[in-house]
This record gives sequence, C-alpha cells and structure tokens, in this order.
Amino acid sequence: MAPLSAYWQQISLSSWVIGLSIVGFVVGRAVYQRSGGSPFLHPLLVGTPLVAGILYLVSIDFDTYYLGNGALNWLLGPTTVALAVPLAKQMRQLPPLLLTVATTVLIGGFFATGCALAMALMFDADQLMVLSLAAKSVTTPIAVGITEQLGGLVTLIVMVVLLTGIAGILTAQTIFNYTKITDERWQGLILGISAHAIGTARAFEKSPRCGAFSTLGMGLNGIWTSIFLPPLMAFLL
Amino acid sequence: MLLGFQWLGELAVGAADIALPGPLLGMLMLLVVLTVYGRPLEFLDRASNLLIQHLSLMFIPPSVGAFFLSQQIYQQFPSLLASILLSTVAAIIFMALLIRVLPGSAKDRPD
Repeated sequence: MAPLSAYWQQISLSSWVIGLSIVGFVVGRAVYQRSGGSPFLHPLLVGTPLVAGILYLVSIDFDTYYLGNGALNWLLGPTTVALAVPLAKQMRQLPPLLLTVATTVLIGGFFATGCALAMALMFDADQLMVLSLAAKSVTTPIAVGITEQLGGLVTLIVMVVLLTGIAGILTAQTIFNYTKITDERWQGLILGISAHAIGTARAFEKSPRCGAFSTLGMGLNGIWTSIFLPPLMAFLL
Repeated sequence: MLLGFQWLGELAVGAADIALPGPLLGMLMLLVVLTVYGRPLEFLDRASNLLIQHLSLMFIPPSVGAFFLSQQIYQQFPSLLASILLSTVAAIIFMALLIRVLPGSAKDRPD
C-alpha cells in the first residue's frame, strides 16, 4: 500500500495541475464565446487570472504548477511546425503581390519590433525586460522560441504578445479609416504582422480573404523576426 | 509527421549552429515541402487544425507566470504597457502609410 500511495502522491503532485490549465481554458473560452468575441475577454485574459487565483488559494507555488504542465509546453513544438500548414495554403496568392507583401513584412515587421525596443529603452526598462519584449508582434509559439533563445522571460512574453494583439485589434480599424486602407487584403496583412494570431482571428471575422492575408503576414513576419532579432539584440545590448 | 519535422529542425539547428528555434526551422522545412508538393494532406490538416485550435490552452501555464513575477518587474509594468500600446499603434500606422506609397497597391481591385 505504501509504494502505491507514494506513487499516487508523486503523480498528483506533478501532473494534476494540467487539469487546472484545462479548467482555465474551458472557462475562458466559454466566457469569450458568450461575449461574442470581445477582445477584452480573450480566453487567456479570463482563464489566466482564474488559474493564478486557484494557485494562490490552495497555495501551490508557480514552479510546481509550471513543471506539472510540461506536457502542454511540449506540445508547443509540434504546434509551431503545424503553422506551416495554413501558411502553405496561402503561398499561391503570393507571387503577383510579392512586392507589396515582401516590403510590408520586411520593413513593417522590423519597424514594429524596433519601435517596441526603442520605447522600452526610452522608458528605462531593464535589460531582462527589453529581452522579454522584443518578440512582441510575433505569434506566440514562435515568440516563445525566440525569447528562450534571447534569454528573456517566457512567462512575460506570452502576456506581452497577448496585450500586443489586443492593442492591435482595438486600434487597427480606426487607423485604417484615417489612412484610407480599404482593401481587405492589406488590412489583413497589417493585422497579421502587427497583431499576429489575435489580429488574424479578427481578420477572419471580416472575410476569409482578409484572414488569409493576415495568416500570410503573421507567418512571414514570424519567420522574418526570428531571423533578424537575435543579431539585432546582440548588437543593441 | 509534425514531430518528424520538429526533430529535423532541431537536428539541423544543432548541426549547423543556426540561431533559430528548432521547431521554427522545422516549420520552414515543412512549408517548403508543402509548397513544392502543392496538394493539401488530409491527415496533416486535421492534426495541425487540432493543435492550432487549442493554442490558447498551451499558453495558459506561461501566462499564469505573469502573476508570479518579481516586484522589480511589476514596477516596470506601466512602462511595459505603454511601450506595447504605443509601438503597436505606431507600427500599424507605419504599415498603412507604407502600403499607400507602394506602387499599385493602394487602390481596391475587385475580383
């Protein structure tokens, strides 16, 4: 009986916390869908405080929780690879629009990151902060990979990416109106580059075409950022 | 198959000392293969859809970490938030203007 209960204790101490994450996800998604997709009620914004609150209440420390969720973290790798599938479907649209798409991704993606870095330095953020902010406009699985490599805080980048996406979809339409960007293809492209998956979700609400271009912008910007960012950070810091 | 490409990516990163995350390189390889192959693969579609639809779930553990950070980082939270907001808005404006000046892209083209 003793070894069995010891086993059980070990299992219950390590992996049951995945259940907490699932509860957070399910509740977060339910609230989000009820609200009709309000950006302020993104599943992560609802689910995360819920899980954090439970951890506080039953006094589990974060490391125990995080280690217990190893299986979920492990899934991020194959999911990053999986992003190639929707992206591959958009590649056919690319050749005739290559000039605009490539220029916008190359210059726009660089500008988005550079601007965030400049602001962070201007506000006197410390080095760890700057490292954890750099990958902000990249879709989360890629951002996590980049941030790990840069030595930033993975726990911070996920929140930063989420807030970036929310900031993007809250302001994009107003900016499109003022700058008279009426073509849904370009609206999608900009949403994808600046607000990654959250922007892409919004773009798909407008039209499949808008969403397709957003997917394209998000994917290409993710690749591009992971190429230029490590050398840029090495140069800056 | 996805794991295979991740493994290939990680192998290549390890072998060639490339400064990219392994899974990302794996994604690039898969992208090239799929683009060359040119037809969708049913099982791959289903697997990747399943994973991508549950992305939020995978991000819960690290974002919970945002509630357990050091005091030092919380003190910087307002400037962090300001940087995020301002730079995101600046980036969208910048790209919108960029697209307007690029030849032949500012107009709507119906099709």
